[in-house]
Amino acid sequence: MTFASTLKLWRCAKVGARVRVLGSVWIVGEGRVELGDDVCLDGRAAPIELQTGRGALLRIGEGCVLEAGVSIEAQDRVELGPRCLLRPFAKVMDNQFHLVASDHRRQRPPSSAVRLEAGVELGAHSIVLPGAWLEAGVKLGPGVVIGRHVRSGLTLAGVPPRAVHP
Amino acid sequence: MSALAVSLRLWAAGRAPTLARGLRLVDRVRARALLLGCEVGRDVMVQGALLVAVAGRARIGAGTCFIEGPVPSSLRVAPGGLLELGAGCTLNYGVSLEVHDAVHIGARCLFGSYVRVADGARGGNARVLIGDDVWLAHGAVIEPGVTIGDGAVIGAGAVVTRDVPAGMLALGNPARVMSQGLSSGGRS
Repeated sequence: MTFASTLKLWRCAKVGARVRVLGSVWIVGEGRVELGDDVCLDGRAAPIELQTGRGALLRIGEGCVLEAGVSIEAQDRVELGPRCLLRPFAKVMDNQFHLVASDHRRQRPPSSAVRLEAGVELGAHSIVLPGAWLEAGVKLGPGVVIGRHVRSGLTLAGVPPRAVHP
Repeated sequence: MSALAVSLRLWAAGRAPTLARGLRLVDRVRARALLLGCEVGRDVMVQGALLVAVAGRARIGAGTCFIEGPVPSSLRVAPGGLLELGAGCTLNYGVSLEVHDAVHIGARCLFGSYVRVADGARGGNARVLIGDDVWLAHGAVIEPGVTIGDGAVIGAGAVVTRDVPAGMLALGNPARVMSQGLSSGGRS
């Protein structure tokens, strides 16, 4: 790991071996960020954002690659399994921050943990909403918005998402 | 540097009220400087960077706040264009407002990160009207000519091509309108 990468990751609670950081990363908040071995954060074209609320846990598994502009916000718990690939500007959040009812819009709803298992691939500009559980090998096409359980090996495309055969 | 500023801001918000007030004052002063040439209401706050290119007119309502993030928001108003942003709005980072003719945004609207509103395209310009208390979630795109009623919610990643009546929920690409009762509280 280079000295520059170590500096950029000073906010992380745990950093694995051979982690690479290219370009800029934004690691803010009071929660715990853990990066596994061989993680690559490529923030050259746009900064990567890792935000954690107090008491939250954001765990990025070994060999994950986060491309430019990826944003992960954890208020409770977000876990990425090994070898996940997050394409540019993908977003993962475990809290919606506002209630839908217009008279309580400024209230924050409870968080709902997000789990991405091994080898999950998120397309460019896709959004993973609170409560999502993507099993191993799930692939999301560009711009997909998903907030539920997706069975292993499925490929989803479109908004609202539909299963497609790769 | 700005990640450090946000860390400081988050820490101050929870633990050091005096420091937090000081930071809010800094944000107000920065708003005056960055929004020179716009009509700016009281207590407008700009945290961090903001790209401003206003050749037409822009009115920013009192108490509106631009939140800092890894990507700055941008306001672009072409000559002869009019942008009206209501009072008490909150805009997250990376929001893009592009005005050629007119965009009216009501009071107390919430803009998620990377929301994009534009009133012009190759086919010509068409006004965009957004009511009061509208919530546009992360990555929503509002196409030219769209009117959104009071209290509506535009879901994350939605692309809104048609009008959304007041109090409704619009989801998908192209966005389909449904009742807000279909979403269970915080979940969508």
